[in-house]
Amino acid sequence: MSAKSINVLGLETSCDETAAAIVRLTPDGGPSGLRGEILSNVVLSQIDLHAPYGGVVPELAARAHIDHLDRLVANALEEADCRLQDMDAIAATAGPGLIGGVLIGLTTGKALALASGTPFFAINHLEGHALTARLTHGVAFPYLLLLVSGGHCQLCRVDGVGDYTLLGTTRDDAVGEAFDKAAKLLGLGYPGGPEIEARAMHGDARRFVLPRPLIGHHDSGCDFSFSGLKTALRQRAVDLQPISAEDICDLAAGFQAAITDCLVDRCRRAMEKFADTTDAPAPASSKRLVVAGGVAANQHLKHALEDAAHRAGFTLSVPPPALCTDNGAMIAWAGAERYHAGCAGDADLDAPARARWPLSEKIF
Amino acid sequence: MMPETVLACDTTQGACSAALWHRGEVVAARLDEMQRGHAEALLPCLAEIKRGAPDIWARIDALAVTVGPGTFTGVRVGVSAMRGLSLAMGVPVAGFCTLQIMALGGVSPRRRLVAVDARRDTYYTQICTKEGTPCEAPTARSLADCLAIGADDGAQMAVIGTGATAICTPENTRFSVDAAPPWPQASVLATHAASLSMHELAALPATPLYLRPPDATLPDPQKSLTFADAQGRGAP
Repeated sequence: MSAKSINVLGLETSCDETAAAIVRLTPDGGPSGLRGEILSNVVLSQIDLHAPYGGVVPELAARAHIDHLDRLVANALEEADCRLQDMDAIAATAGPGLIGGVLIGLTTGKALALASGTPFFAINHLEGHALTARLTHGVAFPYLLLLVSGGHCQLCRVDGVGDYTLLGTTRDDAVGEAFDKAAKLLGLGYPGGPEIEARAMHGDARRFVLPRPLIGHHDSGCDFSFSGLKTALRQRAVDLQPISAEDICDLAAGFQAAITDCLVDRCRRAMEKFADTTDAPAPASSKRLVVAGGVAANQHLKHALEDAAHRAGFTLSVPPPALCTDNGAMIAWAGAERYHAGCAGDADLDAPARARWPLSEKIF
Repeated sequence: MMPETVLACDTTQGACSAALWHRGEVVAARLDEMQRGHAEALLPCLAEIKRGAPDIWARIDALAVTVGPGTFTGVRVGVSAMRGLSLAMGVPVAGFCTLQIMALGGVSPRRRLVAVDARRDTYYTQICTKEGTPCEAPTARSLADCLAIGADDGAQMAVIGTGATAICTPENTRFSVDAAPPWPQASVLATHAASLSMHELAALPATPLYLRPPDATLPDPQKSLTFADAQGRGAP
């Protein structure tokens, strides 16, 4: 374990954001024992590129990543006033994600490591999200994580770097994917989450009461399911044609309310399990529910989770929106945590890109 | 000014190859045939070259990479690796058409047709002189269009690349298979790049060349729901 500050360059190209960042990890006496500092965080969004298609087109994403990544790395170094030689490690997302994009960041990261003689870490994108609250809030282990994004929806217990236990996951769509598909159905823009949230603010959630899949199913653990909800939304929308602006707001509000209820219900169960399985019960103030991923930016959801966490004796921690969506800082931080913990990097530079890569094989 | 030391690689087709050229000769070269796994193989291959010749590696003053056409993923593996090395080493990287490097590797005394089978009756092609100099820009052709090349003057052509299997049949007597490997060789690329000045290399960007548009389909408006206010769509 290192006692000095560590500078790490992180690359992220697993979906529709091309990103590079430099973070500094300094051991200190805070709750997590670490202090994180973001020296630069450069993100180039491809939203405009994919918006006409209503979702991410993998080949378009890969072509855009390779056009810009090396320039963004140079920008990140310049913003941080660092040279590549100042880095203690280089980290890049190796999956899960769109394989064409993952390969670009992973290969670029390995090349930078080879040329500079710097250790390389192939990072699980989900671990990047899982550890971000330690960078932003100094959260100590253990904590409960709700990861909600366009590609993922899961509840995990986080006990340490690389020590994750899956409590629940989606049986079909990711929650961000459900928002995207609902927005596309209603003729709204991409990404769907912010579009649905904006319409829902002006809608009546009681007009269309949509199903809450798996709530009340005691054998469902902490799993999620959103495909039935999506189908129900479609049926209501089809019946309403031609759909007015007011209908859209009401449908959006009903959809958002149903999703929020599902997520809150599953989190309640997970918080109970977390409390039951924590050997030495921590003081109430230190029990944490961390929410990460792009959907964490939804304010309606955040308020509902805050209330549920408070009732269960938990504190809710949500990284700022720019660090909830995909970014290089979370990958750099995961690399820094691994380096600090003494984990072995990819010395042979042969780590594969993985379209699928579960955060943990451990299931509660 | 001419480069003194050039590192080159290719991952665009059925092989992963890398070569190091220094003061007039290729001092290290590797070529492994593979249909997949280029991304996992390339950096270990480059690391081996670095370990084998660290003093020469430290003197690299130019990088060269094939930019396609080829498999989309393979093209991007080579380009992203060399652009990453370029950034880290502070030396320029030049991009070369895959087909031209294949033509330069040809051994037949005939005019050369490079043809890479890109499936769905598409061949990435380039007609070159018997010395390997391109006579046209890289072009995507159907098999029928490939067979029509040189039909006017009955030209005899040597075919290089995976497309030779379909083109060089007993019925198509004007075409013969060149004995060169059916994929680019990094050693040929390194030697060719070293024959250019630093100024000329700087004019060759390492930007992927695809010849085929991405698979991307816009939503069908016929399948969308009907809205009372098509312009507003729920605007609050």
